Amino acid sequence: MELLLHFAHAFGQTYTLPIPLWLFLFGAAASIVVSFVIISWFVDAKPRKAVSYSVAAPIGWLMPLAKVLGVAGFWLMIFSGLLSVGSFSLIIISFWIILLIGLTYVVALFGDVWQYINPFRTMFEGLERVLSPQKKPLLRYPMRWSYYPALVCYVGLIWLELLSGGLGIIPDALAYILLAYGAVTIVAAWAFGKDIWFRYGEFFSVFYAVVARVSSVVIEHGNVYLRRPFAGISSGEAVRFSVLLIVLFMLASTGYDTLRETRLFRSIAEAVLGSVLQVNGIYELTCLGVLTTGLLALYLGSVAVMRRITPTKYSTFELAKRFALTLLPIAVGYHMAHYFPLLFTNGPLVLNYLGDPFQFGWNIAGLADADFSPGPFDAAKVWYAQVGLIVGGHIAALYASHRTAAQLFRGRRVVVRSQYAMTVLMVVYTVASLWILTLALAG
Amino acid sequence: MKVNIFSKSGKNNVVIALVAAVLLIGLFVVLRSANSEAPAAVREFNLQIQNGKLTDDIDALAAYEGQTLIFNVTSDSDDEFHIHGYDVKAELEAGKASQLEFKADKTGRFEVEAHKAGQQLTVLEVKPNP
Repeated sequence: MELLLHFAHAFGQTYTLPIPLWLFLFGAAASIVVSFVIISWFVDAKPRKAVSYSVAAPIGWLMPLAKVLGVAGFWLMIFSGLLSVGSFSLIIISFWIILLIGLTYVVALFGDVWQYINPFRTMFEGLERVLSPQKKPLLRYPMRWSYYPALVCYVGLIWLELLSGGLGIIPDALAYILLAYGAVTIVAAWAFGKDIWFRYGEFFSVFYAVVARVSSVVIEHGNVYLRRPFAGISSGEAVRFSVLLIVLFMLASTGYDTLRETRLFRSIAEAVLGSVLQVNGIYELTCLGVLTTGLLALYLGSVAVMRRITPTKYSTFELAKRFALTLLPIAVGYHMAHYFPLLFTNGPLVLNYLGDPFQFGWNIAGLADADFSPGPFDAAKVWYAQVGLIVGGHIAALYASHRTAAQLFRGRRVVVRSQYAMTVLMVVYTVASLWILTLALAG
Repeated sequence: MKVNIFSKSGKNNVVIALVAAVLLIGLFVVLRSANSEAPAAVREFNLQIQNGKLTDDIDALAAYEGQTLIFNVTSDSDDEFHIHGYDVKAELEAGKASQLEFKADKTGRFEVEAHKAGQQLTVLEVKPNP
């Protein structure tokens, strides 16, 4: 256990310092000033068409390559986990760092590449070909489940990452978990039909599809399109309530990951439980639940104010679903601010593990013993990047919410006025995100 | 609310955005310079290790970039004193004081460890000079 904790520590090593007070004040001021600039901009803005696709470029020929890469990568990860003798392995770094952090940013910038990489889908389609394709799914997917199966998986993933006491960084345990997840995915795709399951149920497909909404690049049916910046989150179309929860959970779990390392969290745990040593999975899941619920309550409150001060036919709940995606840049920006140091300090080490994926003592192309560690980054640059990403997410979110309002409401003044409460909400989210990064960390 | 910005022309917006940008850059420069002061050239830490732990429970050792750091370490057992990120080491002999001196040329938060006990003692926070 001692050894495990040691590795948990070494794995998460990023050297990041808490942000100083003056920079926090600057970030807070910047988010407020920029909000007014955006508001003044929209006083003059004309409504625009929701989505404007530009010329398509075909990338269908890349699809087989992506599929082969996905399936090969999956089994490489699995076998590296099963065969590893040490406490650390290719599967750990490639799953937690490359896939969950790195690929999230690739998708946010360049669109949903996961739909082709997805090894579960490719393997399912392979099985279909060998057996015989189903004419009709066995069961009808209950539509009231909506995206909740994916949300449940998301909570499970965060549990594995933060709350399982290090289970997620035991190579063979992670390999078995991913194999079990793959089996469940294939059975569910067979039972409910693959298009339904990979749209609503399979966590990675849902997560990356949501993240891809912030991208200006759209990948669809083997073609690449460009759309106006943030057109994917400002069309004003309603998403499912479960998508709102996924976005808020992304924000909450990222914030919680920082919070639980702080002295403040320690003092609160001491006050509530009597001792830090009493902190267990149930306590932490409760904290995470409270945080998510708090974010949701603030959001619904702001939408209720919007509903009151705006002449509209939509109900509060309907508006909450139509503005949900405008929060996505805040969640993604904060996710990047929190995790990019981890990606850049630990990500390159994947090359070392690729040099000897199964720990047989190989040294493919000299990769295994080369030094890829970039070492500590200049702390000031990390601070500026973090504040920049968070304020940048705020700008994008506020822009998107005003654009959404322009799609849904008539008249410039109405549009601008409708967003007063949302503007305050977004400033609160942004300042809170910045504040969490200023907190002193526990030893 | 019959303010000027409610009149049509898009030029106002450009002016507002520029004014805001200048304001924010000014604020950044002022805040940054108001919070930078020249730190002392040398920073000394006296640490005592007992049963693989520091006798005083210290959350973090604070230092600034560019300072010369001197660690005077005494331990009740033979051990190795180690700072991650800098990868500097000092052999500790039971009961004897050891000294470790280096220049704080990297910024960030670095774990300070006693290796044999496998224990993290505290962290060293080297803050950048803004």
